[in-house]
Amino acid sequence: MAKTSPMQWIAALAFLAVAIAAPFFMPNNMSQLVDLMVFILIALSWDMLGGQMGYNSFGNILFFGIGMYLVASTQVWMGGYELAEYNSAKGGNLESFTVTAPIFVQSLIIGLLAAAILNFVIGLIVGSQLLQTRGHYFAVGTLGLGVAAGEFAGTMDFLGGGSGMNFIQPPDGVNLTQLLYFLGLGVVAIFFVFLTWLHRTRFGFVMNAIRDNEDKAEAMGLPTGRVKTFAWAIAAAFAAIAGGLYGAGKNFIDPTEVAFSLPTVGVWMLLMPLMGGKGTLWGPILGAVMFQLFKEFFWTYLFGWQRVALGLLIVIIVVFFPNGLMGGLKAISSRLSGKSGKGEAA
Amino acid sequence: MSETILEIRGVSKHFGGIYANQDISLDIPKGAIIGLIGPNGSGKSTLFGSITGYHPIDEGSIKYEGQELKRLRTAEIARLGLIRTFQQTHVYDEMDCVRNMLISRPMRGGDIRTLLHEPSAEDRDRAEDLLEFVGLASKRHLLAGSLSFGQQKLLEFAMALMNEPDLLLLDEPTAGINPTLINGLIDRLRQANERFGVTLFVIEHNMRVMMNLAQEIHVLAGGKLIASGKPKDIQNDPRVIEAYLGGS
Amino acid sequence: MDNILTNIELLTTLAPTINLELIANGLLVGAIFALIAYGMALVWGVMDIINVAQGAFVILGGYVSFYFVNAMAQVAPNTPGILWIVVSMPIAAAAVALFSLIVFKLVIERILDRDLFISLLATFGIELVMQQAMNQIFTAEERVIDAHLPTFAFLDYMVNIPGSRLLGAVLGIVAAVGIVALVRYSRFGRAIRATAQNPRAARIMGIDTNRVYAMTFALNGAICGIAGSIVAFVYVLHPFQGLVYTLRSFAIVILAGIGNIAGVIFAALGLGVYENYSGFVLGPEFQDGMVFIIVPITLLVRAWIMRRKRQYLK
Repeated sequence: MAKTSPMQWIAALAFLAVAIAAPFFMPNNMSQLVDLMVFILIALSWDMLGGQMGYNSFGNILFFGIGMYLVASTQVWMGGYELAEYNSAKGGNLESFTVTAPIFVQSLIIGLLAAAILNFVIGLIVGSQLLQTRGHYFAVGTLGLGVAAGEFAGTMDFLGGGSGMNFIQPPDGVNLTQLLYFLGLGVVAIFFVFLTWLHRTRFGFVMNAIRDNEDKAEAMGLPTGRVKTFAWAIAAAFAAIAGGLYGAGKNFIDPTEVAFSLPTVGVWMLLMPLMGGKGTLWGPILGAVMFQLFKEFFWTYLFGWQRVALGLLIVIIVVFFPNGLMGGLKAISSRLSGKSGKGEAA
Repeated sequence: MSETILEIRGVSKHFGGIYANQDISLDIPKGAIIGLIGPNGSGKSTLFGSITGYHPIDEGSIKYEGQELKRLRTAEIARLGLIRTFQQTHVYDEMDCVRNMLISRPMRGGDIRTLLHEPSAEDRDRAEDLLEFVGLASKRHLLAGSLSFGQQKLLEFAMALMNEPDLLLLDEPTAGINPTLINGLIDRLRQANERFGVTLFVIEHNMRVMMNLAQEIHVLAGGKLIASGKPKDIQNDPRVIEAYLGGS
Repeated sequence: MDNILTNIELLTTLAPTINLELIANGLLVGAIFALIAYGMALVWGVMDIINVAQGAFVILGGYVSFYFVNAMAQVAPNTPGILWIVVSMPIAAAAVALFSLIVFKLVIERILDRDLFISLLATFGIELVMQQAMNQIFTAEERVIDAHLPTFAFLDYMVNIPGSRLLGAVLGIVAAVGIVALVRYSRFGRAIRATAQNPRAARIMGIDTNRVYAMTFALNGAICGIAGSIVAFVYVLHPFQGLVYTLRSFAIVILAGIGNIAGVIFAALGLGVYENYSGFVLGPEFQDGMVFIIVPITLLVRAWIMRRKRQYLK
């Protein structure tokens, strides 16, 4: 039952092949491709809780934003500069803060790792408390936390305050978007394999059990609190990596518009799994691809009104297509085979 | 039958000003099948809730294998081998029966590292065996949520057995079960008791089932324990008849 | 850090009368928060929907009031501004109520029996559409209605209270009393309460529950419209300010509990005072953050209390 079918491995390999080839066919769309990898990461990360465990967080942007600041700061530190000094130079002579190519790449990778580890710990701490609330309360509680983080980040002068912080400029010889893209693809691949494995273990089963009936899971002696907390911590680590990649790609952090931006990435990360199909492995990935296409289309053709259109997209998807693409495909396949298998993770 | 597995002493629980359980004391001997009856609202399910940590009790003590339970949480109590089922079924709706079973494997230490494995072949065999045992083998790949109420009751019973409990509290196991299948279910309850050595503490409305199954019956009315004894004695006890007919 | 300590010193020893000013101002804005939170609790209690667009409705009401008062000031320049402010309140209420009805017909009606994630995300989507559309239509410039009211000074200029806040609180209280009376004593109010308690039984009694839901949502729109027209002259209007009001209301409702009017009032007044203090002590840039963080904090406190009873917030 839980065995991954050959079809899924073929699909995964085909996806990987297309993803590796994409930069060579679409060299002019590299920043969109980097965004796509970021979106896949946060969609998968959000779905770990929202789709697989039934805990709909509206505040995973918290980890995304912290990860972004941490990667930017690590690059400044490892470049040998003071963070406060660097940020106070904004608008003036930021060009004088240079790093060599090897340091740039190393600091980026170390920054991403540090972001993952730190946010894992933050996820454990915050999760152990906030995951004691359920339903509406958890959703809005996380929402408050996510937007509060943006406000507080804007008050910290050593991080550039309300006007934000720049990433250190990539030195000559570093193709930044290509670097970010392949780093992102690598993390996506690792995360995907990890999730495929996780949902075949009893840990993954317990996550689904919490979604279906948490009271029963507790009555059967399952350690629901620890499973929830660790699942959120893992999701937090990957969301933080996504944030680091996204910020590095944008080259600039604004506390409330980029890092902890609830109305954009903060809500997109919920929309993508919903578009593709919550609680499945492929749903969030397909949703991220579809969303990126919609978004680029809106941004290209609906000058000024693109964000209104995205809001409408959310309402339309939620009202009319709440089961997403995978849900639709499943409905069709179950009608064909006369069976349904929503419980399967993959 | 000499050893006591569960010792309830002076347990009281009130919601607002109303006593749902008042000064209840009883023993469950190891290896026995004990019944709990009483009119609607007499506090039977509340007592199950008190034992399994669903709500803190106001007074008294509940000891399982000599260990005080009243400060433990539901999951901790379950990990000691004390499992309950529910009057309204609780299954994992979006998963098939086999997976419902696999999740129910016992989790004695509560260490989540033990969760990081795929279910073993033994677990799968045991899951299939138990589904067979309760008569759900043909439904094993259906979603639990799509089963009928009676089938969900059976699945819940199988899941409870999968958890290898020492003491199993069953809340109306025959409710919703097709009457022609009830005799078979009584058999299985008895087998669970004999073959797997599970002590059973059963709430049941169906008196015929109770008479057939239980070695000893406790009667609750208005939150108080009003009678205890052999099924035959209980049946003729004037206090019990009064409680059921008088609507106290 | 130093200015925080200085501020605390100001409050405790140097100029303790500032406390009075902070508390008075906090209580006055709290009256507006109570109004908005009451609307949220109404929709939540009756329809089991948390309206994330609550704040956007408030801001929309504010813009209606703003443009009406400005237009009137040009049509009849010699009339006192306060007159038009008061007249704008029912107009803003009607406009937002009508808008709410449209939103109900288009979206809310279709998600009434879906799970909470769907209703949260749908109203979040409405919030985004509204804030972005208002940004396009009304621009991101901050707008405020100048009520031309003096600032009242008490205790030898130690305690200063802007007249606009005083007026806002008075109008807010009058509106709140009217709305609560409507829900308490009218036939419509009885239908609302019957539906909130048990929709099935209400249907059997012959109540058209769908109509009750529509009217409840419209009533909430009217409440937001009134609140918005007050916000427009007490605070400032900005298309993106809506979420702050939503989260404030949410914090108030979880502090008070749904269906507890006295609790909503106390929590709202408390939140108003808390905001003023945190803004004064930590600095104004912290004020919004301190509002947002109160949501998870109140949730955790309530979760801890409930855990002692082995219950969960859900």
